[in-house]
Amino acid sequence: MNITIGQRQRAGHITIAVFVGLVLLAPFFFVTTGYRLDISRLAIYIAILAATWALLAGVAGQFSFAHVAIAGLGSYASAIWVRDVSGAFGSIYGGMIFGTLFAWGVGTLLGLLLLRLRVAYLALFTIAFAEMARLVVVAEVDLTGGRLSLAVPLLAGDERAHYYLMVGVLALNLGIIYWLLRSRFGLFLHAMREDEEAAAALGVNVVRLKVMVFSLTSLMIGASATIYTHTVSRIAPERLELLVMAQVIAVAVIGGIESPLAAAIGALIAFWVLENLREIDIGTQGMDYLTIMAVLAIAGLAVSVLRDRKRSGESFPSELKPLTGWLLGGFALGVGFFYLVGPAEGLNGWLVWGLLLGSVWALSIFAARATAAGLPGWAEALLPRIIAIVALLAALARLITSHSLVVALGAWRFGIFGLVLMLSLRFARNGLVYPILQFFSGAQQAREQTVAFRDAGDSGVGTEDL
Amino acid sequence: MVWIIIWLVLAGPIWAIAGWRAIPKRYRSLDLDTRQAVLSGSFAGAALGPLGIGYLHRRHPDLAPARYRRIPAFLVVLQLWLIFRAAFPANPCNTNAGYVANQLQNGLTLGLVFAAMAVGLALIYSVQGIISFAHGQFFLFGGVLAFLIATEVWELNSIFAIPIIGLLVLIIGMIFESTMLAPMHGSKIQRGAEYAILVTFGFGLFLQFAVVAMLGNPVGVRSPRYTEGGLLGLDESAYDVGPLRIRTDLLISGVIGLILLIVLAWFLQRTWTGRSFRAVAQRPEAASVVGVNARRAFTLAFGIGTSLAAMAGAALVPALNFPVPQMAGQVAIRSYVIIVLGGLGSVVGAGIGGLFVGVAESIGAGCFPDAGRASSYQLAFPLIMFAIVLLTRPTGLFGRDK
Repeated sequence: MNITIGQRQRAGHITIAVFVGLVLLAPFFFVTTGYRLDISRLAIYIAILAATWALLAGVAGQFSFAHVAIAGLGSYASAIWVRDVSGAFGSIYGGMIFGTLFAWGVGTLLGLLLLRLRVAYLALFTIAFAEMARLVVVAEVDLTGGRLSLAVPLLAGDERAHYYLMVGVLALNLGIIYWLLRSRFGLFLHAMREDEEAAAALGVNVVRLKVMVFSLTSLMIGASATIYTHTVSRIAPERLELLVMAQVIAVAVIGGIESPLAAAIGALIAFWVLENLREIDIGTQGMDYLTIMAVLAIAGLAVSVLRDRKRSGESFPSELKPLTGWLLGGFALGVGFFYLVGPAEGLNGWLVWGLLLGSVWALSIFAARATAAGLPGWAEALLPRIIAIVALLAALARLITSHSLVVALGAWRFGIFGLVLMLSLRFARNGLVYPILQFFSGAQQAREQTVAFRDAGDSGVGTEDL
Repeated sequence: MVWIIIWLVLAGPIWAIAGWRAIPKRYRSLDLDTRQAVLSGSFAGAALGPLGIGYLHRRHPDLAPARYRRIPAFLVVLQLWLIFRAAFPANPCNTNAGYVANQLQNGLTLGLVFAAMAVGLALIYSVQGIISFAHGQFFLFGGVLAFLIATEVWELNSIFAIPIIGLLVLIIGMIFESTMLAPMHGSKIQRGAEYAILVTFGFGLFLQFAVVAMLGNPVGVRSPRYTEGGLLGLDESAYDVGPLRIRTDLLISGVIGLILLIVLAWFLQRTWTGRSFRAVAQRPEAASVVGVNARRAFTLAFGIGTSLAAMAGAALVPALNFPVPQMAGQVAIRSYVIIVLGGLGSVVGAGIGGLFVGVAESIGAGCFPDAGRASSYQLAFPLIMFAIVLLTRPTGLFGRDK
């Protein structure tokens, strides 16, 4: 028995509703302190940047590294306007309008300059532009305050109101993006990404489209960035750093580069994890266990990739196959179990827990092999993911709640971020959130059915199955 | 006088834009070859204003000879120099020839190290067709390894550490390429080049922060000099030759950069593997037909490219105080500037571009009128050159016209 697309979509709506509810209710439950509210606003800001970057890079195919720099220039323009201009236009709102227009102008100009540049040149030019913008901001101390940062007046309302304001801005951005994607403009963008020459031959004005998408995204991030700027009290050149761009790219890739919604969700989740990675509580012998786990994970992944390669003849599987899912699920179950129960104090747990973990892992492989043929398709697809998610959540809960030994991860967390960016591009090119969205929306299934019908020689798609 | 300066400063760019728009239009309307029209028109406008544009507009000569670019470019540089002289008469660059010579010598020495690094990136690009965005981080990684080897592991002089680092990073680079980048090649994956860039970007991020985490924050630690222990019989930290003051450590760094460049040139010209690289760079399919394993060439070229970056980084460390992790990004951007200046994928061009950037940076920062901001703007000079080259002549200063 297969679940229908309608059921999947209903499940998808429920999941999205739960997620939106979590975001909306967050300030009342787990984001209560001022620091956490600050970080949440930053996460939403990064989510906005990631969503617009997904539109620019994933949908339109323009891999620009100047995204953060444009947003930062808009923020600085707004802050400087509010500081220097007096009179009727000197209010925060005047500054916000000026900053938005400034970012828009810079983005449009950049788009005009970049018309003729292809992949590598585009990336190089934008990265150079971003660095140049940061250098100018650092050097022009009289105008921007340099490294000492610049004080920014705040919008009315308390921190919680600012949080909801940012949530609203994110929702508005996503709304605009999806409205655009459903219009002819979105179709043209898709066409341009798939094949620029073919699209041009079919009458799409590719040159104008490129400038338009640059200009539009910079208008959106300009407006969002100026609003964000006036909810934090200071602005520093770090806002323009390549590290921020790296974060934006990483969260967009982790979420799914081709879907702005997935990128935004990925940003929120990844930021939450990143923030909790600031200080990790890994128990007294945690490092040993973490090492074992990492080795097991890599081994499992390698084994499954090799198996897939052997079976399908494809040297590089484009997505994780069911068996891989089972392996990862079993592994995650082991990790979750380990964290929930934890090594007992006084017991020389190194060997005991290592053995236990290994046996759980081996059992899960065994279970996967035994049941791979006997389970219905949906269970095989869904169960490992559910197990993995539950186990990961349990592990995170354990990480956050106990306080026996705190290890500051400091710099490592960004390193881990880079590693995740690299690995998810290598093994899950669609990102980690986008496949789930696709699964719930039923688009994947519909496509498979269409292909199956076409292969079977049917002229049309059977309506009773859809 | 002031008005002439203002006219030159303000009108130069305006006439350049006018030439950029007008000359290609004119050539197109006459159905002439327009390939060099943009560049020649804008240069003529910048150099001679209405005279240059008018000459090209009326006479519309065949623009193929390089003199239609070289003479205006020379005139523009001359103008800029005259403006600089007139505007800042008290600047040391206008009054002290020895100072300029010292800056030049510093820039050339640094340029050799940069060239060795950028040549690695050019090799990767020419063979694989992708740009490694982890190049600066490999440079930093090499520097930190040299620092650690010299201070903690074996207390070895950095000269002897360089080959070890080169070998280690060669292996790391090859493993990274064959596991992470290999699937991005070929037609199986759409937009493989973009994804490859992002993969190297992610690895660079990992490398940089892994280095930061490993290094911690050792305050007051200084990397050992080359000259420590009386190596090579050099024990002075600097020698005075006429007006020049030559820093021994920097000089040795430059010499190592030069040696790396020579070894790479020998490798590419004289060995079978090196020749196979060049064959793959020209045409991978044709190279595989005559028995070159293109796959292996990709992996090896990436390994050699990254190890060149790491060795250049290791060479520079004794001349610096301490390998600063934040320098990775700036160094990376320097290498991008260099390879674009030299023409993407041109190994010789990258070598010359390295010297060019070293000198431009050194002279630019040394002569910047506002000394307080000079160090902040140090990287801006190559970046401005980069932007101009990329927009006017994307094949690079030394690249071939397509």
